[in-house]
Amino acid sequence: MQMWFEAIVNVFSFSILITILFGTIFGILMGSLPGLSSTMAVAIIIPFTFSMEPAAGIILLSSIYCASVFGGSISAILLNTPGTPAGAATVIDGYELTKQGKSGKALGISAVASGLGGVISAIILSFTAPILAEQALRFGAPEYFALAIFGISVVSSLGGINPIKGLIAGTFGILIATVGMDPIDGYPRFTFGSPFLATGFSLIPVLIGLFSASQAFHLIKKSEKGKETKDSEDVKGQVLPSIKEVTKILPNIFRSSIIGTFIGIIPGIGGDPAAFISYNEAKRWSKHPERFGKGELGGVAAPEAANNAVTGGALIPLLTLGIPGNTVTAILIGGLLIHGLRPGPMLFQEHGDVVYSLFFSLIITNLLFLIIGVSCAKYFSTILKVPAQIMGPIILILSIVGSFAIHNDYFDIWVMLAFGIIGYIFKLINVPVTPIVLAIILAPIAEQSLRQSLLQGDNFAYIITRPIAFVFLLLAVITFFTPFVRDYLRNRKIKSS
Amino acid sequence: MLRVNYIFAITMSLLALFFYVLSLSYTEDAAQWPQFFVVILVLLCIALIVDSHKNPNREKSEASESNQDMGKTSYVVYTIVGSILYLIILEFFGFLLLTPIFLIVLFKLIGYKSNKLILFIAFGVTISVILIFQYMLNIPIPQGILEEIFI
Repeated sequence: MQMWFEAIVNVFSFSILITILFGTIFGILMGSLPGLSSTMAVAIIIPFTFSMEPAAGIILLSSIYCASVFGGSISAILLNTPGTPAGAATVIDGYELTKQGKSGKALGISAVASGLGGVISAIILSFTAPILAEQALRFGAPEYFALAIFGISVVSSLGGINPIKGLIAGTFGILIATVGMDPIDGYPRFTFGSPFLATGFSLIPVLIGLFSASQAFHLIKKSEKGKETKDSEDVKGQVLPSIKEVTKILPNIFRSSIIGTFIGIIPGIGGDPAAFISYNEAKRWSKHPERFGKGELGGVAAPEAANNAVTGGALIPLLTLGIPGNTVTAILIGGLLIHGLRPGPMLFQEHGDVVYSLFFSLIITNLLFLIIGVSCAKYFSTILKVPAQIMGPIILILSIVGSFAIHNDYFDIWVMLAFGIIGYIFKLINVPVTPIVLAIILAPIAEQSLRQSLLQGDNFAYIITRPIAFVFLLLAVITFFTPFVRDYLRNRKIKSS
Repeated sequence: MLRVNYIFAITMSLLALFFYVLSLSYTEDAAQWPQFFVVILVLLCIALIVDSHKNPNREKSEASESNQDMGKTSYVVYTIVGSILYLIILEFFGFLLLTPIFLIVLFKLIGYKSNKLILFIAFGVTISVILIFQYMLNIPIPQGILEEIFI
């Protein structure tokens, strides 16, 4: 309870409130522009958090994450194009409402559902994370090895239509992570005698390169000569939903928030499946399922509540076990590490003030974008008139400055540029880049804990005979093979039809 | 996408081979982990080639979607070459002098016509970055020849 009081006092300080406000507005802007993503928004802002207090820095990043997911619904509703992948399900009924001249109402419902979904998941996060973290304190090297393998096993489900490509990207990431000192003996590997590579590639330039610079290249590629503005529908109709309308969709919001939170906890699934599953459930539970797809308010509320609830859920494995469940949380690890905060059970012991401030700030962020969403909806169409393409060169400059800012080292800018080019090419040929980041973060933990375990117990049996390690390894096997089974069944279905 | 997958698999295999050759001179403990994943990477590349051969249409829909969205690859080449040149001379000239020129050239290359907008963005972004990083957050930015003047 003491921690909660400290968190409330901390969050209600002027500087933190301003940080949350800035993060929320920036997140909404970045999320709403098609072509820009939550991942890019968080990656590009990490360098700005260097000189901040750890709590302020991580609160800024997480508020951008939450608000950008909501921002994705704005272009989904007004442009028929989701700003983020998680907004794809919102298009179905959201754009129908826009066509009927009710875009204001759609945006209002989206803001309410997103805000409430985020608040519910933040509350679940606040109560479950400390309990899980306490259990995780018992973990030794074998458990950490199994946990890291479980985290890495997610890469098979990140390969999109071809799981093998996800695995290749993950293995490439593991090899990249071996550059630098060997974690036990300190033997230099793949450094070519260069002092710049002695500690391996810095995580932040790699992240900025893979997610921001590569995105900048994609935006530049899509630039059209002479076309400098974008056509967007103006916001029409009443924005603020009536109490009757909100009451009617409350069970839907609550159900979707629970679905979103639990899907968020499972590594490798993410916001878009959560939104579609919730949409289907809302349709199944509705008294008028035939109205879905034709501008039903519940069809906007369900995916929006779910994809914002994923944000809180995804932070549970991140904060308690140090396992990033999706791309944004992998980047958040980078944000935590630059402040010396290593996610995992010890984070709650050593930096409880930061963790509880983060919990409370998430509630404030979600309420804040609910208010901004309802009160500023009329101006959202103006945001969409800014062509995302013009952002390309600006993002590139921010990527360069951000990479330099970490160690004041020009080598980091070259690393960023190299990974930017790799990220751009990989995206072009349908190879996901998230597995690279997951592997870079988790592979050193896996190698170190494996070698420590083998020093303690001589052979691999020492690891698999530990119950918790065994459960995580079993989960890793299931997680790893599920996409292949799904792929096999899909191929068989295609062949038979 | 079939040919692309073959090229990707061969490139990754060559990279794996490069890592393997380098790791041969390491101690056994230091070499085991990377060597294990080198083998895995080669096996996965073989799997990708076999899979692409067996299911050539697997990525067809995604590939056709991305082809429609091809845009101008030449813009990206200009940007990458421009960025490399920018980085080479950044250390000497510094961020303040070089960035507006880089942005103006980049916007012109990718086809933006409004000179007012280009100038506004080029100088606006440069000055904003300096104000935010250098003065508000106390994070140094590359200063080059202006190092003595610009604190």
